[in-house]
Amino acid sequence: MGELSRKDRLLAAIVPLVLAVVALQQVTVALTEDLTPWKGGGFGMFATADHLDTRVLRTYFGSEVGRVPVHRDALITMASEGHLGTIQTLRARPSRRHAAAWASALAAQPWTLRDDAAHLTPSEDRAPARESGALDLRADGTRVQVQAVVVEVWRTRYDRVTSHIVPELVVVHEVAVGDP
Amino acid sequence: MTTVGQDVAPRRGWRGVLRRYREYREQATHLTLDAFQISSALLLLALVTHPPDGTPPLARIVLGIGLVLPVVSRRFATFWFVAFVLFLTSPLERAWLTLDNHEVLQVYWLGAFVLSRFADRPFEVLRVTARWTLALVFVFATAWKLIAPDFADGSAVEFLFNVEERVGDTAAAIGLQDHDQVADNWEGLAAWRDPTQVPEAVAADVGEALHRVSLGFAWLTIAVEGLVALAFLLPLSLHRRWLRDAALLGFVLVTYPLAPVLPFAWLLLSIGAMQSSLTPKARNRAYTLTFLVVTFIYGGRSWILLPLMERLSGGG
Repeated sequence: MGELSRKDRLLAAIVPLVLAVVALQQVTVALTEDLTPWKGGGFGMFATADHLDTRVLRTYFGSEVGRVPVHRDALITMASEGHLGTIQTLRARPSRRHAAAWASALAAQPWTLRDDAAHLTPSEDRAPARESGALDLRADGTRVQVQAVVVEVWRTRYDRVTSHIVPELVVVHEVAVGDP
Repeated sequence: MTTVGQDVAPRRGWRGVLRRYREYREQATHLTLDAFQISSALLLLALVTHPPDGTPPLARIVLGIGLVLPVVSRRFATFWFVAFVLFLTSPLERAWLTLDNHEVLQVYWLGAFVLSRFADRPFEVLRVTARWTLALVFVFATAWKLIAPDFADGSAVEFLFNVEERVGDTAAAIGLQDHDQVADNWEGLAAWRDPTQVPEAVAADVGEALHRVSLGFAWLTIAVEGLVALAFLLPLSLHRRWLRDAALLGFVLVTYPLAPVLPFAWLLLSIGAMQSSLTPKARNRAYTLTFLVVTFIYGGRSWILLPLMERLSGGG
């Protein structure tokens, strides 16, 4: 078993180098920008209670009638209708860019104001055409203009001394509707 | 081979069957799988049975052909290119931040097989890649457990065993925690998802045994993973390289019967077998045995013990 040629040494080094660069970048982003250590190719699984499933996304519409929470069922429906990646990405790394992508996804849906919460309008009740770029809530024949989407991401901490599971607000983003 | 006049043993009936069996056993005794065969078989098994979500069926078929017909994956470089391209369509389509670590490592290791095909000495290139890949995986895994604010004090371990259903099931199976307590603790987090209420701290029911062992378990994990990292980082002499195999196999044996990521165990064994410095016979036995033990314990726990416990506790 002799020495490898220069070409072979280079070929052998490519995968470890890529792994190291990606993992170093993941550690940096996780420590500076609230990326969960479990994701991003850094091998931080099982190192903390703060992972994707223990992060909570809460969304509100900022409107002329105040802050309207987006009902949890609407998020579940959107997740099952092709937006799961957007939601998970935002929870994993709650950057402003990912919040804006989530706001755009919300803005593309029709909403109804019911019981002080925003619900997805059932498909049979949807209007045939919506005003481009506008997000509004329909309620009893009136329309409530939404000015911003407010996104909160919470993470979980565990206090071993008191055996309490503690919520911790990671970030709040307010994205004006129509923002890129 | 027979020649004219030679006494020919019967080929029909049960004696013929017995003779053919003895011939097969004789051949099998002298047949030694090499590192590439073991490594590629474990990798392909992990990819075929546990591919990332959204992997196209065609990718699984191609990978399955390589698994069932090892000659294809060994002789045809094109096989690895096709498999890699087909396999990559899923991770590329999915958001990067939704991929699990073992899915990322699957892509790296499959990529290593592709790259080795360009080499003058492909198996040697794979062997070097395998060693450094394992070294880095364990360096980063250990580093994260030291950096994370809640691992070294035992909090993360206690939380995962106590609240996380997949890991909590393990704690329940080894008697550290009550199965229903894990489900109740997880349920406590559900209220946080309701945006009409402010999230509040939830008191968790913790088993006394779990609370006692969580800190020790955390440091044991750091020590074991750190030792594996060191074994692969240090330039060991040829006579001591068996330590790498021992460290890796020991880690896999104590971790993956409990941790809920069996394909990660297979993947580590695939990479480990490729870099192994053991004699072919010892390597084949050690890696095959570890694979079987981990798979059977994991299978027994997940498919027999836990459903049984759930049934006994009235959970269905």
